[in-house]
Amino acid sequence: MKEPMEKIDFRANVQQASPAVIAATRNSTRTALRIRGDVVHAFGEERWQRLRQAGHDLRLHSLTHLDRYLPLLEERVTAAGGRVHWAADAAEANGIVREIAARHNVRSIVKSKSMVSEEIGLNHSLEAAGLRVYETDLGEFIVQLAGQKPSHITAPALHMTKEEIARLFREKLKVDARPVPEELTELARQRLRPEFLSAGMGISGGNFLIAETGTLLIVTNEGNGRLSTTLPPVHVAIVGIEKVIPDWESAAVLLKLLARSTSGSKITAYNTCITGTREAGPQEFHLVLLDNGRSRILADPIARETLLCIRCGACMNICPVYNNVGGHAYGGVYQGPIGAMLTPQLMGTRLAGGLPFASTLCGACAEFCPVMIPIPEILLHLRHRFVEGDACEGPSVPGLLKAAAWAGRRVLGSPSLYRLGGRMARTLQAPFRRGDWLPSLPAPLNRWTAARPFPAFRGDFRSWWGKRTAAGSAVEPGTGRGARP
Amino acid sequence: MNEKLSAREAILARVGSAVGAFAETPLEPPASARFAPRRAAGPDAEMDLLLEEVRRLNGHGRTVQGPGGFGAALAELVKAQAVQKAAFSDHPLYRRYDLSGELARLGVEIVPPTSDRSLVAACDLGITVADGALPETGTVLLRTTTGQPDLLSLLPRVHLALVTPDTLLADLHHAFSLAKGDRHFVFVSGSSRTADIEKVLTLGVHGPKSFHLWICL
Ligand code: SF4
Repeated sequence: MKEPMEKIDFRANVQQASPAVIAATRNSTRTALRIRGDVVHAFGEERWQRLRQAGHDLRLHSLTHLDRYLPLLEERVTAAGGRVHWAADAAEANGIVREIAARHNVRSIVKSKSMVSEEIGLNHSLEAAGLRVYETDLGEFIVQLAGQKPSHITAPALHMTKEEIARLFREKLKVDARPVPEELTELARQRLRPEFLSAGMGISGGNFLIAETGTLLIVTNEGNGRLSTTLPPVHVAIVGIEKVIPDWESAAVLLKLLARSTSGSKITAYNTCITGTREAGPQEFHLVLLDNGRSRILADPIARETLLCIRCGACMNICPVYNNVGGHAYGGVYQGPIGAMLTPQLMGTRLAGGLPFASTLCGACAEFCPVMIPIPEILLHLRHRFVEGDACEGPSVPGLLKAAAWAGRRVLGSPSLYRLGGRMARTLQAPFRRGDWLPSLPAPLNRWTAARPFPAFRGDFRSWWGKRTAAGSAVEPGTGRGARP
Repeated sequence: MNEKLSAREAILARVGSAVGAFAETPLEPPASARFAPRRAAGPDAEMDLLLEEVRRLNGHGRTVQGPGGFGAALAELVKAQAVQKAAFSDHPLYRRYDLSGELARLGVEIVPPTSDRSLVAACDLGITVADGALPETGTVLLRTTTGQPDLLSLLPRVHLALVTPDTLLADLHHAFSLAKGDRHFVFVSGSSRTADIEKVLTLGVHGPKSFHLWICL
C-alpha cells in the first residue's frame, strides 16, 4: 500500500479508551447479542448450524475458485453495460474513482456504507482532489461529523451516547438537537436529502457479487444504499475481490446468515440487486474490484479462511476483549476478532503485527461466526507466522514473544500439554481471582491488567465443546474447517 | 502494457497461483453448500403469516376486499397519514380499484412517477404493486421498471405496497429465480430503519417512515 500509515499500538490504544466508551460499547453489544439470540433460537439451533455449514462451504468454494468466478463476473457485468476496473492496491483504486469523478465534473458525492472505502482511505483521497464527500449511513455520518473513526463494522457510532451525538449536532449542524434518537435521525435525514438529490456521483460498497448474472447485491436498513445507487447519474461500487459468490442459490443462504447475525432480524430492510446499467437509473455503472493484499491472503491455506468473512460484526459483539477495550483500540478499519485477523494481513506485520496477540483465544467468536471461520486457529497461525518473520514484511516482535510463541507452539501442538496448561491456568489463577475477573496479575501479565481486568478461566474450551456436542448440537468437532489442499 | 502487466492480469495471476490446487475441481458448488428452501403452508396460513410479519416489522398489514374495501382502506390511510400528494405508476390493479378517482375524491394531488425527483420526494405517499411477497419475512419484491421506478418506494414518507394472493412466494430462492434476469430489483421489508444511536430502533432514516402492505382479495 502506498498511502503512509501508522503502526498500530494496541496496548497504547487500550490505555486511551475511556470508561464511558467501554460502557456505551457494552450496552450496545449486549442488546445486539440478545436480539440475535432470539432470532437464531426461532430459526432452530439445529437448522442454524446446518445453515452455517452451508455458508462456510459455499464461501470456501467461492474463494478456492475465485480465479474462474472473477472473469465470469467481469463478463456478465460488462454484457449488462457496466464497466469493470481492477485495482491492485489502495492507490490504484483511489485513482480510478478520482478519474471517473473528474471525467464527469463531479463536485459532490454521496456514499453509502463501505468498509473497503475506509480501508483504502477513499474520502481523504477525494477530499484532497477538492470533492465534497457525504457519508450517508447514520452512524458513518455521525463519526464523519465528529472527525472520528468507526468503532464497529456495522454500527460505526456504537461508542457514542445520544447526549454526545446531540451535542455534536448542535455544534456542527447548528441545529437545536435534543438527545432523542428519533429526533437526531430526523435531523440527519433533513440534512442529507438535498445532498442525495444533487450529488454527481454515488459510491457504494457491495455485500456480494453474483457471478452467475454479474449482479451487485447491497444490503442496507436505512435506504441510503438505494438512494446513493439510484439518484446520482454515476454509480461507482468498490468491492473486494473476495466478495464474489457463484449464484443466486448462494445469495439466498448468505442473506439469511447475514441479517440474523448483524441485526438480529430475519431479513435486512432493503436488499438491492443491481446488474449493470438500466433505463431511468444512473447512466454509468462502474465496478472497482480491489485486491489490496487479498490475493496474498488467499495463498496461505490456513489464513485464507479470513476471506470467508461476510462482515456481520457478530464476532466483535461477543468478544470479551472487544467489550473491554472498545473498537478504536484495534487502530484499523476492522475491529474485534475480524480486525485482529484481517488488519495485520492487509497492512503487514510491521504496522499491525501485534493485533493477533490481542485475543484470549476463548473461541466465542468462532461459535458465533455465521460462516464458521476458525478465528482462534487463524490468530494462532498468524502469531506463529509473524514471530517467525512474515515472509513479506519482516518481523517487529521482541525476543520474549518469540520465545513465548515457540513455547506456545509446543504446548498447543501437543494435546496433553494443552490440556495440562488449561487445568493449570484455572488452579494458578485462584489467588488473583475476584469473582469472574482477574483484576491484577503478576509481571509480565500485569501489562494487560494495568489497563483492563482479565476474565477468569472458568473451564476449558475442549471440555465445554465436548459437553456441548454430546448434548446434541449439530456441529461435529472438526467440521468447522473446510477442505484444505 | 508489455513491460508491465495490467492490474487485471496481475491480480488474476496472483489469484490463480494462490488457488491453483483447485484448478481441476468442478465449478458447481458442492451439495453441502446448499440449503433447502422453505416450503409454503396453505394459502390462508401464508397470508396470515405475511400480515403478522409485516406487523412485527412495525409495518401495517391488512387485507382489502374488492373495490369497496380498497376505497375505505384508502380513505383511512389518507386521513391517518395526512396525505396530500401521492405518486404511483400505471397498473391494471389501480384501474380495477379506480385509484386515481378515489384519490381525487379524497382531495389528494396525483404526481406522475416520472416527474422531477424532487416532486416525487415531496409526495407523502408512494404506491407500488409487488411482483412477489415473502410471508416468512414480511417482504415484498419490487422489480424496477420505467413504469414503476425504484423511487416510488423510497422517496415518499409513506409506502403502500399492494399484494395479490397469487404472488406469494415460499422463500427467497423462488423470488430470485423469478427476478434474477432483471437489471434492477429490490426486496423491501418494512420501512427504512436504523439502530445506530444506542441500538434504539428508529423508523424512517432515508426512506419511508411508514410501511403499509395490503393483500388485495
Ligand atoms: S469473522 Fe465471522 S463473525 Fe466476524 S464479521 Fe466476519 S463473518 Fe461476522
